[in-house]
Amino acid sequence: MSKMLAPHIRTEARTGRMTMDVLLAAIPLGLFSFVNYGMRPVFILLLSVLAAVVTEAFCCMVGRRRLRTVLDGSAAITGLLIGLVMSPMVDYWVPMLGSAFAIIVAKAPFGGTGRNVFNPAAAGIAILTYCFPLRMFTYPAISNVSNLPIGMTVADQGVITELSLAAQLQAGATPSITRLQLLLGDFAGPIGSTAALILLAFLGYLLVRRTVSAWVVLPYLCTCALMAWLFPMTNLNPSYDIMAQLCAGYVLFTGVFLLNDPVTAPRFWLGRLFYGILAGILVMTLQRIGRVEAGSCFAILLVNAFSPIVDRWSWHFCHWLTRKRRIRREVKAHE
Amino acid sequence: MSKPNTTRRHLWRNTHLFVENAVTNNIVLIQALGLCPIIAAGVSLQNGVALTACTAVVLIPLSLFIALVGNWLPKWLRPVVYVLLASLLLVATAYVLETYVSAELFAKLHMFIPLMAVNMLYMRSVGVSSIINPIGTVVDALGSTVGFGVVICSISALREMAISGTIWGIPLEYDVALPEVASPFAAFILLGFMAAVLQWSRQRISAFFHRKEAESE
Amino acid sequence: MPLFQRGVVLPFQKGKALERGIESLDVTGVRLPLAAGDMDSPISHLAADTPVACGQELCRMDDTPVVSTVSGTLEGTVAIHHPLYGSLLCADIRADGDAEDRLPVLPEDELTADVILQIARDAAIYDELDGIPLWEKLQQWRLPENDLTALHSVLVADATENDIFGSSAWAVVMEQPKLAFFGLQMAARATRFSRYHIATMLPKRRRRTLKHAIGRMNVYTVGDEYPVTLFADRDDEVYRIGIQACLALGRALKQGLRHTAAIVTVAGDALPAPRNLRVPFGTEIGALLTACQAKSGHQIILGDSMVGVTCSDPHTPLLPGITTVLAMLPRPVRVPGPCIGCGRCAAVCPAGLLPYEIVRRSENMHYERLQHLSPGDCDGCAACSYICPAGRDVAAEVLKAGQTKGTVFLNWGEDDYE
Repeated sequence: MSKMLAPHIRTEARTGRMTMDVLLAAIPLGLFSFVNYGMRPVFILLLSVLAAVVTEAFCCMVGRRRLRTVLDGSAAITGLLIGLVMSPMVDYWVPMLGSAFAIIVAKAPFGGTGRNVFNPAAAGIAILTYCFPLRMFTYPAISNVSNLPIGMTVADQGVITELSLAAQLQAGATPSITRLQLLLGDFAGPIGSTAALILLAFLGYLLVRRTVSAWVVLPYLCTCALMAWLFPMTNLNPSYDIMAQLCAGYVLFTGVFLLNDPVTAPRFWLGRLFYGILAGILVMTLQRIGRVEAGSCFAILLVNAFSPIVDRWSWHFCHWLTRKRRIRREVKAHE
Repeated sequence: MSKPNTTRRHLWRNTHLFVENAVTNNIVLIQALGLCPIIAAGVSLQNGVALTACTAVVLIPLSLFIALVGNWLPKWLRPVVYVLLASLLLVATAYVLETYVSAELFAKLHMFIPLMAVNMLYMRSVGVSSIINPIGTVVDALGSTVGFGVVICSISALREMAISGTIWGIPLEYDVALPEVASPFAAFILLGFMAAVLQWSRQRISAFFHRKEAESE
Repeated sequence: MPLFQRGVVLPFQKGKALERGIESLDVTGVRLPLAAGDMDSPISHLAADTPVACGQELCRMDDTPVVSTVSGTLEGTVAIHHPLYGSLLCADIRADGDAEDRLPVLPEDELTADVILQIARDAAIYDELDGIPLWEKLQQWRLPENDLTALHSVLVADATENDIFGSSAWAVVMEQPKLAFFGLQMAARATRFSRYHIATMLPKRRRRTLKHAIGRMNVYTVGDEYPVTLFADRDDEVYRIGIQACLALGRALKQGLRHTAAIVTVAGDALPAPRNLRVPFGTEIGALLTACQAKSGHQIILGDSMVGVTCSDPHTPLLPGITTVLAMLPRPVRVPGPCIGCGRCAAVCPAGLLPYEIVRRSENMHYERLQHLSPGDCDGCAACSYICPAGRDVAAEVLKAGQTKGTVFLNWGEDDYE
C-alpha cells in the first residue's frame, strides 16, 4: 500500500493558542502590581510589549518576512517577560530598550521565531541587569507606596526604597517577612516575580493546558529546593529558608516563564529533565554568589547554549538503550 | 597573448587578492583572526588606529621577508623566526609610539602591543607568504592590514561614542554614557552584526572580481 | 489528565455507526481486478455477456483465485488506475442474477493445516489490513511442527481500528464474535501457533460482552494511543491478521461462503450520518457515497483519516485493504507556521524518533548528519503531523528524509512536495 500521508484531520492545538496562554499571565500579574503600585507598572508592561512588537515588525520588514509573523505573539511574550522583571519605579525607557535589544540582537538575526538559540527575554533582562543594575534593583518599599507617580522618572520624588529579599539574603541579613507575605508577594521586588501564589497557580494552568512540559519545570523546582536545603542562606527554620530562597529574585519567575520557552528548551523528555536540573543548579548558584542579586537570566542564557546538545545526546542515549534491548530480545527469541 | 593584457590580468588578480583579504574574506569577520585586540583594546578610536599602525608596521615587512627567505628555512622554524622578528619590530614600534607620538596612548596600550607579536593574524601570513610570490604577499599583507584596520577602527569608534560620547577624544553633542559597552560582549555583538552584513554582500563582491579577472584573460 | 504527555489519543466518533449495526447495500454492478499492470485479459475464455455466479472463480491472480462478488453478467474488461494498487485490469460485472457458488463444508476434525490453507486460498480471502491474500501470510508464518518459537509467537486478530471514524472492525467483533474467533482459531491451527487472541480497544461494557462471548483469555485490550504499538505482551512476537479476514475464514469453513464482501465504514463530515455497510468488492466508491447521501463537493479518502489516500476518481472500485471510506469537505488551507519546538512530535512518535530534528536537518540540508537520527525507522503513522500545533506536515518530511542516502536525495527531481 502506498505510504502517502497527510492526516486528514488535525489536533485542535495551535501555536497561537500556546502563546496566548502565556500572554494571559499579563492579567493576574498586571492586576497584582496595579493593586500594589498603581498605574505605573501597567504602563511599564504596555510600553515594553509595544516596543517588542514594533521592533519585531521592523525586523520582519528588514528581513523580508511576512508581517503576519508578528501576530503569533512571541514578540509580545518577550516584551511582557522583560516588563515583568522591572522594578516598579524604573524609567520607562529601560524596559523598552531591553525589549528592542532582545528582538534585534537575540531573536531576529537568528531567523526569528522558532530559530533563536538564546531566549530573547533572558537576553534582554541580562543586558539591562549588566548595564543598569542600579535602576533594575532599586525597589520601592511596598508598605509605603500605594501609588507611584506616573511621570517619566521617579528617582527624585521621595519614594522610599527598600532592599529586596534577594539582596537581603545575599547580604546575609535575616529577612523579616512572614510566610504568608512570601506567598502573597507582599514585599519589595520586581513587578511580576514576587507573587509566588499567582506564579504557581499560573504554572498549574500552563501545565494543565499542556502549553509547557512538566519535564522541565518540575525537575527545575525540585533542584532549586534541594539546593536551597543543602546551602541555607539564613540561620532560620530550614523550611522558611527554602521558601525564602525560592521566592527571592527571579527563581520562580524563571521556572514559570524563561525556562519554559519551547524554542530554546530541549524537546526530548530526558533532555528536558537534564536541562531543568542544570538550570536549577546554575540559577541557585548565581543567586548565591552572583555579582548582582538576581542573575538567573545569565544562568538561562548559559543553559540555552547547552540545550541542543543535551537534547540530542539524551535522545541518542535512549535510542541506544532501546536498540540494545531490542537486539537482546531478538537474540533471546532466536535461542 | 599581448603584454598589456597580462599586466591587466595581474592587476585585477592582485586587486582581487587585496579585496579578498580586506573585504570578502575579511581576516577578522570571516576568518575570525585577531579578535583579541579588537575585543579587549578596541574601546577608543585612538587605540584602534594605533593598533592598525602596529599591524601595518609588523605585517608588511615581515611578509616580504618571509616570502623572500622563508622557503629556505625549515617549516618548523618559520613561526619562531617570525615571532622573534615581530617582537623586535614591535619593540621599535612601541618605542616610537611612546617617545614621539603619545606617551598617554602608549600607557593605554602597553599591555596589548606585546600581545600582538603572537597574534594569529601574523601566524596566518607565515603560511600564506611562503606560497605566493613577493608582490602577492605584500598585497595580501596590505589587504589583511586594511581589513583588520577597518573593523577595529569602526568598532572602536562606535564603542568610544557609546562609552564616553566622544570620538578621537572630541566630545560630541549628546549626553549618553554607557560605560558597560567597554566590556567584551558589546564588541562580540558588533562583530556578529558586521559579519552578518558581510556574509550577506560578499557573494556579489566576489562574483564581480571573478568576472573582471575572467574578462581580462 | 497525566502531567507528562503520552501518545496521541484520537477523539473517536464511532458511536453513531456502531448503533446502527452492519447494513447491507444492494449494488448494480461491480468492477473486479483481474491482473496488475496492462496485461492481456486473463479471462479471454469468458466472452462478454456470459452469466457468472456469485463466488464463481474468474481467473487466478498470483495463485489466488479472483471470484465474482455478485451474480450477474460479465460485460467486458477495462484498464483503470487505482490510487492504492496502481494500474489494474478489471472486469465489469452487471448484477442481475442470484446464482451462488459455494465451497464444500468439511467437518471440523478434518480441517488440518493444509486443508485450512487450501480453503483460505479457494475462498479468496484477503487480509483487510494490507490487502494481501490471507493464505500467503499464513503460509509464510507457518512453523514446523513442534517448534519452540511457537511459545513466543502470538497470532493476533487486529480489531483495534484505531481511527477517528472507522468502526467496521468494532462492528464485526460486536455482531459476530464467535464466528470471527472460530476463524482465528483455524488460522492459528494453519500456522501451528499455540497462542492467539483478538486485540480490541472497545469501551468497557462492550468489551465485557465480547469477553463473555469468546472467553476472557482470548481478548487482549490495547491502549488507546495512536498508533497501537503493543498487540500482545512485550516479549511476544506478534503476527497480525485482520478481524474481517478471520470472519471470512470462519464463514468459509462453516458455511462454505467465499470472501465476496467487505464491511466498510462510510463516514466523514460530508455525510449526514456514518454507517457500516457490507458491500461486495468492486463496488464503485462513488455509488457507495451516493447511497449514503454525501453532499457534493467532498473529497474521497480511501483508508482512515490518518494515513488514508485521497482519491479523485469516484469510479474507483472498492478493493480488499480498504475498511474506511471518508468523504470530507475541503478544509480551509492553513499556512504552516515555524516550528516552535514544543517537542510533541517526539513525544508521540511510536518509533522513538526526533521528527523535529530530522525536519530541521533536512531543511538545512545537513544530509550527512541526517542518518544518525535513523529517519528510515519511520513507518508513516502521521501521528506527528496530527499533533503538530504549527500545522506542519512533519511525517511527509520525515519520510522524505528517510529516503535519502548519505548526502544524496534519492528522489531528487520528483516534485511531490508542495
